[in-house]
Amino acid sequence: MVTPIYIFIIALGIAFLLPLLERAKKGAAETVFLAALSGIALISWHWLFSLLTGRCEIGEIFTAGFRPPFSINLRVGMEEAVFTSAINLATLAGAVYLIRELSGRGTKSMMLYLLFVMGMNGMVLTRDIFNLFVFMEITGIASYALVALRLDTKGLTAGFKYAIAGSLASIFMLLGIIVIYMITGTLNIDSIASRMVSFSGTAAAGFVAPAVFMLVFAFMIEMKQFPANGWALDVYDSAAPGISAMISAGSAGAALFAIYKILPIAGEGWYMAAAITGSVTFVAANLIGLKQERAGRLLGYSSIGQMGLLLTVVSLGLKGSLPSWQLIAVGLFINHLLAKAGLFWLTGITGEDRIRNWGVIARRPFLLMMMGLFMAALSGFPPFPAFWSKWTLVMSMFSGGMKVWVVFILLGSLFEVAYLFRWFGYAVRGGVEDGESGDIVKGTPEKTAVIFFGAALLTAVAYYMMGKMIDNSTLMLMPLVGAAGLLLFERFDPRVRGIVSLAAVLYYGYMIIPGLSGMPLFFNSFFLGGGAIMLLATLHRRTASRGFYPMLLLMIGSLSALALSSTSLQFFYAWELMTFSSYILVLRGKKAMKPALLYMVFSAAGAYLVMAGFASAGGTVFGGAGDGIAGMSGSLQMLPFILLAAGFLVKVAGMGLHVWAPGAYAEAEDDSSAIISSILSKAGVLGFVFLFIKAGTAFTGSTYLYSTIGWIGAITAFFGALYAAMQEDAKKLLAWSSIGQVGYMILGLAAMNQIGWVAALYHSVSHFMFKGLLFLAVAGVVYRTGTRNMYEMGGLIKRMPMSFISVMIGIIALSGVPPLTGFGGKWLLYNALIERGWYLQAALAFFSSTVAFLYCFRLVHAIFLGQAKPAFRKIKEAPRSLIAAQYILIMAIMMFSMKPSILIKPIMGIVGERFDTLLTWQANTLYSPFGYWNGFAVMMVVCALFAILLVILLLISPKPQKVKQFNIVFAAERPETPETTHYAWKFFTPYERAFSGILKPAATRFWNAVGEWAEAVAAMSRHIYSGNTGAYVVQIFIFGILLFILSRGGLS
Amino acid sequence: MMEVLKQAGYSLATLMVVMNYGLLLVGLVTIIVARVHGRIGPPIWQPYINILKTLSMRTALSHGIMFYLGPVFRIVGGIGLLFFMPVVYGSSWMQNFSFAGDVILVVYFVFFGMLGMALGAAESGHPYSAIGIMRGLAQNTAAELPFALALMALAAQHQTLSITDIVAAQQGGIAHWNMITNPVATLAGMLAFFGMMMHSPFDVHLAPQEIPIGPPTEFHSSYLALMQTNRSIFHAAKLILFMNLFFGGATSIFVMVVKTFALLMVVVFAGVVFPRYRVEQSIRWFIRIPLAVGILAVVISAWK
Amino acid sequence: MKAVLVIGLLLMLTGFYGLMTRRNMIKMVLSVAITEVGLQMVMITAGFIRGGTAPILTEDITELASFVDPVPQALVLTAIVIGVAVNALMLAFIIRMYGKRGSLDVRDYTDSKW
Repeated sequence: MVTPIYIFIIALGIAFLLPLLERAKKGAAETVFLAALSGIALISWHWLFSLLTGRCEIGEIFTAGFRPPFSINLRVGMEEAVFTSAINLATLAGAVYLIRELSGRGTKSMMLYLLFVMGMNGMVLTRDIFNLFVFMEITGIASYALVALRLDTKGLTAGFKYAIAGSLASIFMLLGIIVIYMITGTLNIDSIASRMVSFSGTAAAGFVAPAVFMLVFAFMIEMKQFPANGWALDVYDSAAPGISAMISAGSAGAALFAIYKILPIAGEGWYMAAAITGSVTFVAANLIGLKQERAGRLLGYSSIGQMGLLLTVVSLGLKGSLPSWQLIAVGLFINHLLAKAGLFWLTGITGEDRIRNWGVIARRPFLLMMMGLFMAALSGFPPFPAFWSKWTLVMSMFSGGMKVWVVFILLGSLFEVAYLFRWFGYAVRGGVEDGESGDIVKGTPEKTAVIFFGAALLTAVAYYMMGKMIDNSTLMLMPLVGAAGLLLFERFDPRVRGIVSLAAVLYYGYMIIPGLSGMPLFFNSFFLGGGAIMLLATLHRRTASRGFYPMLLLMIGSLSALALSSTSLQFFYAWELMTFSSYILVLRGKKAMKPALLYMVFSAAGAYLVMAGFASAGGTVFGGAGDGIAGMSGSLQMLPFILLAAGFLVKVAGMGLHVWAPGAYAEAEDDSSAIISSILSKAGVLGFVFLFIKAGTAFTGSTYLYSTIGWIGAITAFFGALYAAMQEDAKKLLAWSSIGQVGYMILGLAAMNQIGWVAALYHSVSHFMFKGLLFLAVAGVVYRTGTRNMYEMGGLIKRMPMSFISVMIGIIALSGVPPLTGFGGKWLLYNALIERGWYLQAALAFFSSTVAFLYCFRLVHAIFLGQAKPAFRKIKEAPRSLIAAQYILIMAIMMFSMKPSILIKPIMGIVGERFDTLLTWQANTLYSPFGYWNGFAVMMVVCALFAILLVILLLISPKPQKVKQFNIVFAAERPETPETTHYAWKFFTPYERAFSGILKPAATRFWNAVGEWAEAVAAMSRHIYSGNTGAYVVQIFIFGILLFILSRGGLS
Repeated sequence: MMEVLKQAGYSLATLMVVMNYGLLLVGLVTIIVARVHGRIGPPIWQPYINILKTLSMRTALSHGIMFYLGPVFRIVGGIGLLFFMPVVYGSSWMQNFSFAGDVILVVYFVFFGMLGMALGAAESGHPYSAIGIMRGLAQNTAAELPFALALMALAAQHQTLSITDIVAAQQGGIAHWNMITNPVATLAGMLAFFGMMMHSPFDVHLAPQEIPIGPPTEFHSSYLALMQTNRSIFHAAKLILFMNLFFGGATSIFVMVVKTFALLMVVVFAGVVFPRYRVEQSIRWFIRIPLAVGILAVVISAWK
Repeated sequence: MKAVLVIGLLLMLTGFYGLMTRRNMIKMVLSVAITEVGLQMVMITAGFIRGGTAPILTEDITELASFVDPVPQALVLTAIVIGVAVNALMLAFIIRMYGKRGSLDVRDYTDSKW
């Protein structure tokens, strides 16, 4: 084995040689510099590799020929190898990224960089506490200088602030070290730790606590703990992004490792205090980050937050409260290292500090994709390492009874998601404010390569961790593989990509569906079949549609994985994958920036509730695969039930938690809206199905909980319909309608009887068909007219008859009027509710469905009937692929309307024996305990009547005289223009007036207030970071006092 | 097949009975209203004359295919409503196609015609048609709220949704009628009934002469004939529905005529006495007292 | 020796006070320097033995216990070096900053904040 001493030898030696080399040959310095860094990295990788494969033991390296405690010793264990490898990798990549800037500043800067790297390696490797101090100072001095490298005022000021804070930390550290040395007589970390224990009760004990306090305080400053971290923010803000990346990724990691070594000296009493400090920092930094408008500083807040989280994990791990904390910490660290460095690097490439102007990156799909990937990693989306870490963390915390911790950690994570994706939203949709849209961001090749390398590495680690963590990882990987594979086709015509996606979905379905049964079969057929039809509709796309098909495929695949999941982790993995992919799909809409952010924040909050729910359920397996079980498993208790149900209620947009939905559904691209509304909205339904199967009805409080969920479903149905009737925007109307329709499904499921479940699943399919149909038809109309406001349309029946028929069939099915499929859902639902004794809910659902007539009529009237506008007199029918998809859906609706049994019978089989059988078939008649319904007969009677009466009308009035559009009079007035004659705007004003009392958007106002309060708190708190070094010094002292109080509490 | 044809024949006969009855009712109501106003009024067969008149109109215009089909949808809705209901309890030929579905089917089918005709009228491009439809839809949906509650109260009381079974449960004298056994539900249902019958004060959308707004002013000739025919059928069918639900059904045509006539008179007299509501007024009216009564009805019925 | 310890601690407190109250950057650096001097005096006292000898091995050494502990002295030397380096660097920054903006008041350098 190469002794790690060479790390220092190489770094120091080359650092001194560089000026000579540069003098000998111009340009040689750069090569040697990079070679040196590679050499250092190779040593650490060699150790890591050997330790991983078991080729060598932990390395203990002694200096000066003595054994410790008489000499300084280094250690390379697994942890050291991992940290140095990661740090050296990042710094090597960072050096490549920075190479032009560094060489532009001369060899001095490269020397500094080498010292910086060496210092960090030393901090990780050394086992001597004073040596640790020295390496810390080396790292510090090198970084002060690197921060100020550009010699601009900002950088110099930041360097000065950094140096002042560093000096303070080193003063306290030395003070602590010297006292500890006086007491224990050694500087060796391992010996100190063992000797410290023996001092309790002796006279020296009085000195121990202050000494330890000084030491920990110093390291807490180095760890940038709240509120003693203003200087660090200014550093991230002011340094060159490439340097900030290294400080955030590298030295933060080294500091973390140092505190990991120090905490055992401090003793167990400090673990809690450190963990609390860490989580306070995590929450505070992320909260304040909410208000941040500048990229560098935003990343600074995120970095500090991550440090806090890591400190929490390490402290709790050392305390013994987190079983697999090493995995969590390493996952979080590597994730932070690569993703944060990647984002800093991107900041360097764009050169744009204000996040509002990040639209500059939108024209570079590759960089944008990298940004999305880093964002996903930082926010803990699968398959990135932080996802697995956060999952394990929350699981362990719950099983260790640390519920309050989970609340804070998830809250902090939510803030982080909010500001990160706000930024990403600007990048994708923001455009450029200052009108400098002309200049396209261009990275140099080596910078771009480094970013790609970082992303690739992150993905590799993700893949490795995924293989370790999740059962059946191959299957779970399929959606990602599909999406990645599709990326290869990005250069092709969109139609080719669409067809490839369609083929992939069909093939995948063909492969997995035959092997399935029960709920997985139902939902997979639903998601994949529906996905295929919707994919067909997207084939009309002519625009470049970059990234559209991969994300669509990812979403369909993750939905399928969701239905296939057999463990809680698999479920959550697929759930998060679905959230992310659908977020991107929503964000693709032109005006989708804000709705997409809202969607992301609510989805993340919902997902955290789900995660907490899984955690509180302990080891209960949650999933639908192998769903052959009869009855309910009854293995969930009240708390997990509430958490999971709340999480799923967010997804189904239950009233009160729905504020994200209208915007997300409406502002996505038109064909995406169809997919999101008709397919994705059922993910929450699937969640409820799995949840109710697991929970059963036997647990405490189940009656109230189910009835609460039922009421929420009914109220959602009502308000969804009412709001839909008041919309002017066709897509918003359908969005609200979707919210309401899913309410019926939840109501049916919550009834917890056979009919209710059949109703819910039947309605899921039925809703998919008619809502998909309506959204696609509207998509065609919007595509042709270029507007979504219904009152601007009118009379389109003459120009777009095919679309009109689609909408007409769609609304008849939606409204539940016999003889089409919608009625079956309603009939089943009322029977289920009567069986359950939920009469009031049934009446409310009934009323809601009548309100649905209002918006149904409005939709078809305002668009297709009434007066045609001159602008649209010449428009064409919707594109063929859209029409084709619509008519497939119409055929399905007609088939299921004619013979409901071909749909209801399989669904009854899938619902199976879980409940008492209440529904029976006799020929074509479906019997419930209360009533009966013969869909076939209804269809026949209606068709026969219609045919006969039509013939009668044809006989008595065979050839009516066709009249022109304006051949009408009203109140003896001739209409002037179509615009003033088409009655469509504010259509249901009397209704609005009558219901004005309950039409106030209370939920929206409430959530707005929550958002505003959070931002206000952030805006207020961030003023403590005044940029004044003197104030920062005071804050450091205040932090010291707080820490002291905290440690007293912790020690007692 | 023979069964179906036989049933179709029976139903056709029922339709004839009900249609004529409905037309006569419309005529009678006109007379009654006129007498209250102190006029003589038209003869009782005026509705027949009206239909013949409209049928023999020489002018038939069309604004488009939906305009043409609208009245067909409308009358299919009316006849279908009748066809899915048993008209006379125990009668072998007046059961119609009630085997196809229970009361939920019937109440939902009410909307079939409404929606279809609304589509037709809207295609004319006449703004007043659209306004009339908006008013009708808005008011009707509001009336459905107490009705739904009343229906659920009945379902809770009888534990069935089958109209035949509900009627069966009310046999054996007036004491068994839901009017007596479940008075609150009946009250809620009757309050909704005012709205559903579209009589004054809930007839603002029907385009009575002084406010020439709504589909009836748009349609003419044979279309209007279909709609007028439907109006009588639809009227009668709804009366029959309420008779079945709350007033013990009918065991013979005679009983049916008596009961439905009495029911209609309630509405007519109320309409003569009360002024017409604006749409938002009528909606507000429905979501106050009738809603409260309906909720009370459900609570009482579910309590048992 | 107690006197040295007390003076050292007092110097440290003086330095802290100066660091918190001074707005002139050079004075802030000086405060840091004062604190460090104090700290170094405190450190020196750690290894001191009354009547001990310098920790140098010579022929006439009879008792190792009378040695002053050499380690703190070594530490102090290192600390001085590091302290001087950092202070010099800070002063270099200040010179540059003064050159850019012509002010030594730390409150004039709050461009990056919040």
